[in-house]
Amino acid sequence: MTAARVAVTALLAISAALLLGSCTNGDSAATARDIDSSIAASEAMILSIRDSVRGVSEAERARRTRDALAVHAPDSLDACSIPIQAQEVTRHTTGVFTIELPADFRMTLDGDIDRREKHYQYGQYEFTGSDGSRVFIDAANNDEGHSGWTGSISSECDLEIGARRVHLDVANATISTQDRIVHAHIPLSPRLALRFVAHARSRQRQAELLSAVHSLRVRPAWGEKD
Amino acid sequence: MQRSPFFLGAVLAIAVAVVFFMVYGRITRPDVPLQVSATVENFAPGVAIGTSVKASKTKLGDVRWIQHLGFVGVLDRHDFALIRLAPAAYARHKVYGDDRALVESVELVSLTGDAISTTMVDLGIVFRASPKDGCIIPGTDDMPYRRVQYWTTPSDRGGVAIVTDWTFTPSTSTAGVNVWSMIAWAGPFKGSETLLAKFDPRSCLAITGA
Repeated sequence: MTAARVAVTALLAISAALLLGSCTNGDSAATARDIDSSIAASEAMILSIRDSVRGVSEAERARRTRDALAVHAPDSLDACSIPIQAQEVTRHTTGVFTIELPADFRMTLDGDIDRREKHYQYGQYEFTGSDGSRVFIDAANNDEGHSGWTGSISSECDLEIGARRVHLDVANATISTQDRIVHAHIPLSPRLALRFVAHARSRQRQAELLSAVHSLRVRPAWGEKD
Repeated sequence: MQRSPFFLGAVLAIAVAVVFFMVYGRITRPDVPLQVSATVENFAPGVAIGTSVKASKTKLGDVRWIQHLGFVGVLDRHDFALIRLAPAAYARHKVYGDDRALVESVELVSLTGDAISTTMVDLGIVFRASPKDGCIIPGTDDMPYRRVQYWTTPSDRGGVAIVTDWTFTPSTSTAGVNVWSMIAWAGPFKGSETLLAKFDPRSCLAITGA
């Protein structure tokens, strides 16, 4: 009698488990943010088709697609990810660091020439790409990880690059134009850190510059007095 | 009062039968309802929901990856000019497309207005029901309100929607060319998440008042 009860109970339990299993969805629920991005991309695609039918100019079509994707699709780059590097990169070597940037980036402010390190023990560097994207590298206080730049942070990550602890942020500086931020904060001494701030003019560029951060290596000369 | 062994045996037998048919049903049930898979196969031969993007995209031309959306390609069919293969959300938002991901939904875009009525009739026969009505709210001024007429299977395991313009805006006028879509999916209907558009279960008439 007891054995029969146990058997019936077990079978009912299995049935309940199966019923519950059939009610759950294996897919992880998409976030509202992800859905918004998909909606914007979908509308951009439909608009693009309509424009091609109407014969709208290439420039107008590009503007609409860009606006729809830039303004309504938030950054989806994951700061912890390492996007694929730009197809062609150039290694820049200064007195205090080396970094690989997309090949069209040119140094527009040389911290070595600036010689600010005489006073502050570090230089300020700037690189500018062909599309106007810019990379700034200078020093910041260790407790200023989220100051000295603006942007709505969409993703953060703490990781190690070249055996150094790095805090990374991916952000949008504005929703009206393409100004996508990649920020890295690398503590180097008890009080000072190296700061990397990139203003990317496209999402692709932002991915390239997030990848570039992973090539950043600080040389021993950083922080030494002249 | 003691119950007879026969009674206990009958209970056990029924329970075993219930469990067996539940397990059997789950194992043998196709992931994609026949109404949905047959519709996709009919309008886009070689494309299938629930299979890898890689397998389906071989039937398409000029396939491109659009982040947040999926793989978009050209379909060599008169009724539909373009096709979108949407993988599951985790794969859809990657910077680079992964064609090993499974196709979760398919959107066919048509520039041929004449085909709407025949497609609606076909879908009515396949699903043996009248469509439900909803509306897509435009995300930008450039887009019109769009009517959604959709069918789902009785147990909501998948469905097909026809999306057509409801309002007219100069910026979306296509000078006589009717741009409309057919979207097919597997799994329960989740409104905006399924259609990748701002879905409202009310009709466009109720929303716009015109």
